[in-house]
Amino acid sequence: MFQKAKAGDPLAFQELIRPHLDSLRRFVYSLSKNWQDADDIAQEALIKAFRAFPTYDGRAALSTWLYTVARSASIDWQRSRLGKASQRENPLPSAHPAADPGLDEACSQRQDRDRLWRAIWRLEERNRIPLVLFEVEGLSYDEIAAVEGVPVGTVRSRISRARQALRDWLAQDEPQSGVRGDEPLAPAIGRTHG
Amino acid sequence: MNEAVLSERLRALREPPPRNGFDERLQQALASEAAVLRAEPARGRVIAFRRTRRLGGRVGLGMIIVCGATAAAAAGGIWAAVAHSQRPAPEPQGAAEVSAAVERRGAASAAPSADAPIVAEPPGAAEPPGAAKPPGAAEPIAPAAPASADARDRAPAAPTPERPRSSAHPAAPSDRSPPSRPAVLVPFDLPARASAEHPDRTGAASARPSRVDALPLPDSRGAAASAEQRALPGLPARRDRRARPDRSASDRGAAPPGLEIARERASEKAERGLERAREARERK
Repeated sequence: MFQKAKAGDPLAFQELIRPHLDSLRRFVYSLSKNWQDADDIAQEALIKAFRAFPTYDGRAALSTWLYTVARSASIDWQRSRLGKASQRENPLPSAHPAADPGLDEACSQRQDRDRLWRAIWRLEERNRIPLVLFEVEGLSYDEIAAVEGVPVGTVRSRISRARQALRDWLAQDEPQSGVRGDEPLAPAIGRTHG
Repeated sequence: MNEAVLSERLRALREPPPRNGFDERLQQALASEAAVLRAEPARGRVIAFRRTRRLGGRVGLGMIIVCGATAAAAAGGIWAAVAHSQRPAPEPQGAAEVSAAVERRGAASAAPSADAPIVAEPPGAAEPPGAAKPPGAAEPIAPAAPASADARDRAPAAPTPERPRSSAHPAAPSDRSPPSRPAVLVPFDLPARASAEHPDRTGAASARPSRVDALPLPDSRGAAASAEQRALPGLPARRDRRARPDRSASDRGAAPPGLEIARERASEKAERGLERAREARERK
């Protein structure tokens, strides 16, 4: 399958990357903030990977190589005019409607995940990517260093800073259980991505 | 919130994303991309062929120019070589001059060496015209002076009683006497030599050949001879500046300034030597 994919077989390539598709889409989602843009960026990144797959020498893991391609595609999209327009139109997903009391457990978990994503999006991008790759996707420090192209110590310090900032923000939001943190988060995100 | 709780909550984000038909769209996109990639080689071949034709024209033109220039240069070289080989070979310059000088030197050295003994010449050979000595008087040998060799070189040729020097001269190895032959001290005629050396002072040029003329200098002599040979009919011979003054020049009293100065110095040294010898004789 590997050789077929290198020879340009799209089905073989798709089978080869299928185990990494969800991780890639989540990773791109952490950078684009909505699933529609994330799917577009992920598709563009996978097409680039398909084109460049004959040059893949197998020295790094396939997941690491795909994360590198996806990160580059995401940065290109953010720098493009289309990406800037999309960020202006969809600054943040609104608070989940399941904020009302009396919802079931699933809705409560979903609220918690949305709140976590909003806190993650408040982080600087250089701290956000290592945190997502380490905590959410489960990559090692070395793999993250390979994806980011920085030393391992830098990855550790960035993850530590991201954790500290995330803990502070969540601690501020938790006591105000009814508020959910939309109002205080919006200016910070505008400052980060503006 | 501690680290473990935060990590656990972050790990909960690892939920499968919504499908939204992503797999189908991705499959279609990859298939279309593969079709584009399959079509690219044929298009690439066409582009490469056009590029080759375009570059081929330029490269071919350049090759034609380079090859033409090379062929022209080669033909010119061959033509020059043939023309050079067909030209009559000129006589090497200096060969005739050397032979003439050798003949002249042989004639000059053969005549005196036949009947005259070998002379050990004193260093202060020249004598001023005023210090005339009685002929036949024996002269003590003066100590060697540093410039005595130059003075001897520039001194005129010895008269018939005088013989070629026994002192070594780098340019006249044939004038050397055999090492086993004993040297005989013979007085020489200083006034006559002085008059021959300084014709302008004495007012009478000596008819004897000077010793400078007897020196084997094939280059200068040959240059002068060739200058005379090259002279056009009806015109005086062109004198070579490098040529040393020959007999005709000394007869005319036109000697190069360097030679004149050297002669003066040599005569001064000879005078000093004679004075010292005279003083020594008086003390005795």
